[in-house]
Amino acid sequence: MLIDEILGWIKLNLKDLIQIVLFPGIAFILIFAVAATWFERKYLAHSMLRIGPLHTGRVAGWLQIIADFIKLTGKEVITPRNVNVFLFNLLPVLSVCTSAIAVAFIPFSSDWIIYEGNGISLLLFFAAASLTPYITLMLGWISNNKYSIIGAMRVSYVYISAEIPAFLAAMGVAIMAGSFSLIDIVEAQSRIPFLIPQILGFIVFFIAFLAEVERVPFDIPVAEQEIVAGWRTEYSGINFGVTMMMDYIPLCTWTLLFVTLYLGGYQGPLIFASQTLSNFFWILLKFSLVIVVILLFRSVFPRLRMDQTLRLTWKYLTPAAFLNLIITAIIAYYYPDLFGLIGAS
Amino acid sequence: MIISWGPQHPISGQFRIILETDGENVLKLTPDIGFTHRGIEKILENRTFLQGIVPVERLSMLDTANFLLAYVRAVEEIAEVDVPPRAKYIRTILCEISRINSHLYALGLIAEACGGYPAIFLWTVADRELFLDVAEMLTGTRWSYSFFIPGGVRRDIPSGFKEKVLEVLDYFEGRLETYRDSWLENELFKRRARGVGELPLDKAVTLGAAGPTLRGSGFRFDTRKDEPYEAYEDLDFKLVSMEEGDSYARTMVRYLEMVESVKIIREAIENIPEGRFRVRVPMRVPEGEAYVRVETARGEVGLHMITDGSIKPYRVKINSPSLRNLYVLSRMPEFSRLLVADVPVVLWSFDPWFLDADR
Amino acid sequence: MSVIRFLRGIIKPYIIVFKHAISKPHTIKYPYERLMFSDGYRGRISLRFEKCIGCGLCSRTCPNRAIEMVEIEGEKHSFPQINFGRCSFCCLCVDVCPRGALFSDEVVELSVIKRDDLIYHPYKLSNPQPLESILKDLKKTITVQIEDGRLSYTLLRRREENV
Repeated sequence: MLIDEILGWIKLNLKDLIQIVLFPGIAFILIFAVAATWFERKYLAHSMLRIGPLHTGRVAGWLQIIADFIKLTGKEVITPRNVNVFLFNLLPVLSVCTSAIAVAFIPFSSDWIIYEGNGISLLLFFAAASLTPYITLMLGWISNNKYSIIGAMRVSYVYISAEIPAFLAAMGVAIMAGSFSLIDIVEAQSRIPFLIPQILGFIVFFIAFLAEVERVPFDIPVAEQEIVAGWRTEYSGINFGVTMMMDYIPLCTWTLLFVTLYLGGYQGPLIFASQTLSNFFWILLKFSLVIVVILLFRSVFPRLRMDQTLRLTWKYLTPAAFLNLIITAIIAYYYPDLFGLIGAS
Repeated sequence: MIISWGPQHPISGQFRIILETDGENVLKLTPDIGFTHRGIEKILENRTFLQGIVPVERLSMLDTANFLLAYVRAVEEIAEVDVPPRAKYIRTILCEISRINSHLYALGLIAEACGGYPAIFLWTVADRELFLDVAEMLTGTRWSYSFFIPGGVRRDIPSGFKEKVLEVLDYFEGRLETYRDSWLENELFKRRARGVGELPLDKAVTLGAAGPTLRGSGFRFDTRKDEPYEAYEDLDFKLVSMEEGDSYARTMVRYLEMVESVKIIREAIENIPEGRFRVRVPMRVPEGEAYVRVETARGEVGLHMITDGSIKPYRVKINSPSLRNLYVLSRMPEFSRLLVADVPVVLWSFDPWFLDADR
Repeated sequence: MSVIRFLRGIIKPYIIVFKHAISKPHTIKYPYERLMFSDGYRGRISLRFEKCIGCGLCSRTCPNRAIEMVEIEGEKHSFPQINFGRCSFCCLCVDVCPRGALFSDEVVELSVIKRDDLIYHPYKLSNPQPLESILKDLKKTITVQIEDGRLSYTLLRRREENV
């Protein structure tokens, strides 16, 4: 019967379903967005000598985020005059979906990955992650607001200028590992993470990925002191909540990529009985540490200006990434034995 | 494109700037003031000289003591009252506490204006709390002191005040170093503020800039030195000025002035003379006219008072520093390149307070 | 050289902010904890009913015209009635009172539901509500002090001990 067929299909694809729905799929990303919001509020509050959310929920105000979300759903959704209502309401949801796709290519263990990508998962990650700025651009454009348009233009500037150095830096890693597959890249770091041999690429990628995820000091597209809220100015109610969530999903996927490329991904000593569980532990630990480091930037640094960001990315990061790529390529061509020394192929 | 900066931006305050831009370049900048106009000058005409101390403070809630001092000194000058030296020293101490309060807030605001969500804004607010505590011990309230009256001050120094002030100053000097290391030496802040909103010396003088804005452009002028009032004559302090004339220099002038204010308070509280703290001033002030200048945290305020022999002033005219600095800001695009992102930084490096611009 | 200075200008602020993030917050949990105000704080104004002579000096001094002299049946003279909606707590009325009938205390919690409730009749003025009955959740009063270059929060009194 039909039900039996469905059950049989579920049984066959149980692992894929768990991966897509629970970990590292939808549930993980949503929980991360909530937890990161809570942690950011709490952490920044402490850096400012405040306490932060306190009362809602018994422990450290953790329910406050949920309460805020419920409040947002209860608010009126205002659609501005003369906009395409369908696109205006669709695009926030679409942007969340597209930016979440990229997590499918991140390996959480050698056998725990949603889609292996036929050995080119690094390229597929960049392809998927680059969809988001187009949608953000459209979001700002159709909002029919001056601030939104300025914000949308800034999005395109920042993304294009930051994506090129990030991609070039990642190519250095790919040459070193001899593969575009993220699993192969992680396996190549079994002895020593690429942080050390690829130190120049590491720095370039770190700065460029801060710009990609719109964290301070590169949160130029939503610069609230200058252009109210950038491309999300006109959004209200639950649409606003969704666009806020969109801040955290690229942060999640790009940080995972950063950990995978340079910090050895899921590699680490065996601490649980199961190899898979141990791998989960290590990647999540590295991921959390990087997030903790990044979140405090907001409390330390001012925002850079648009022209300064462009000067930084085009004048310094892109040449540095090229230099890194060329050095890696020369070594890979003439002295392939050097890579063997550190464990890479 | 014409865009409006403020009043819905996070740090614009009750204020708006109408920007004419070409892309991100600002071509024309028109400050739109008047959101907080309360008619203080007219209100003062309907209050007796004693009652006037309350509304005149509402000119600038961050720097209440200095504005109040201008009013009180004008009354004393017309009534030809000699204020006892003890009252002069107490006034000086409170004025400098008020100046530190205001400058701390300005330091936090320029951090907030540069973007991000800098922790330093709330650090300055937290440390300002200590000075509010000190002022509370002396005056009985935290912001709107209403403490100077014609003829002196309302209360004498309470016991334990000196120890408390010295303790707070010791702590605050350490905190000033923290601010320097974490914000003024912050390389990204330097990149945001250096060379931004440059105000050349000749422009600063001809357009009539005031206070730290003027001194940040290299013009060595401070009413406390130029025409000493209260106890400033006896006290030893430096006149702070910087040559560069950009937003960073103006911020730095305010920072160094805080260092000087700490010295002034220290010296004043050590050398405070004994004696009365108040003399009687008659309700009716004789017919006359006075113009007094007081250096507030934002620059020189000029208060012109005319009396007609009744219990109320006939007319009070206040020349406020914020308004003059906003005029300089409106002429800024003519001689300095501004981007949209620079507007909040330059605005708060001028540190205007819209309450006293609107009056 | 400039690279080193640049790195110093990036890393040192980060370390300072991180140190603040792991130190104790400066804020207090207000309805449960409350800062201790100094003596002579200019807060709520109250009336010593028996000392008032009804001279009306307070009413004439008040800059905001918040004080009105009202007649009370069975009394020989009028008494001040204060509208706290207009009061700016300058306490000039306290200073000018020739008999010391008006006094201010450290209570600042005056919020009410209706605006008319802010007008305090002389009877209400002379029976000030104690702080404990306004802030029912108040557990401790705190004062901020400086010890060894750090702020410390000294517990002044717990409510249980006080009661």
